[in-house]
Amino acid sequence: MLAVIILFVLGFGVGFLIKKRIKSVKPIEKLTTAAIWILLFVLGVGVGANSLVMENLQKLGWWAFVVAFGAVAGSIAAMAIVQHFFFKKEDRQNER
Amino acid sequence: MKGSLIVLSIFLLGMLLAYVGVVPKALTDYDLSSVALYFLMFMVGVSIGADDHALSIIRSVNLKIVLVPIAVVLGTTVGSFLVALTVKGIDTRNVMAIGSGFGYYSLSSIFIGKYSGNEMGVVALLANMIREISTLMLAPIYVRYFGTLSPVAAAGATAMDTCLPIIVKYSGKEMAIAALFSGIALTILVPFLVVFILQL
Repeated sequence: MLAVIILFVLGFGVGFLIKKRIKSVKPIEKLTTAAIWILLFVLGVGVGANSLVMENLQKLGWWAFVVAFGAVAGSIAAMAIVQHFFFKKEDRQNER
Repeated sequence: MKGSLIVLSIFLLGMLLAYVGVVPKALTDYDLSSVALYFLMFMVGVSIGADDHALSIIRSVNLKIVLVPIAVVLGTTVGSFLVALTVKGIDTRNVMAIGSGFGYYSLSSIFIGKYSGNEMGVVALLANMIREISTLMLAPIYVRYFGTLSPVAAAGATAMDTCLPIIVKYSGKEMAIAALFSGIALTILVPFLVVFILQL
């Protein structure tokens, strides 16, 4: 986890330094998309290669799905309330 | 939506190939996901560092940002509790503990597997994987209907790494700091909260 933070800070520094030399951030964003695809493929491989997970996929998968749904729905609902009362107005002021 | 479908098919392809056994063992042996993750984090850093608009917003960070992870903790707790009330088969304590993984599946599944047995460990792994993967796929839909902070809420602990690129892409670079802050705070909280709930 620490390595991830360090790399982010490092990338931030590099981006800050090359800012004046590059014309657009589009190529950087395309590379990021490619990296997302690689990461998702590897995640899929991790699930498919785990025999304990694959054998009980139906029952355990259903439980997992319901718990994930409840956790995500609750989080999004709470966040929508927080954004409505604490963040919306300021965003509009920044745009003006 | 097109992006989500591409991501989903790539994930399913990886899963299928690994299950059938076509994927070379080297791919599962080497920690390729960490390498891809490191590369991603570096690239996200570069794209934020090179963006003047994002930088000006980072400079105007304030204390309200603390509300972001607090909302995730409260929302997850209430949501998990409601699921435990309605679904028969798993006990409330385990459901709450699994929810408190906030998408950090490796750590939470180890803790829950140790306290509640292998089966619950697998459910923790899957539920938190689903939280991460569904956020990656549904982020544009969340942004459209529930606001720019909603993918940060859905991502939980993964808002700082795996889900950060997708949050930056659909919520905008100005949400990167809220995502990073919330993800880091929740990642630190996971082991404490999971162990605390299991010992209740």
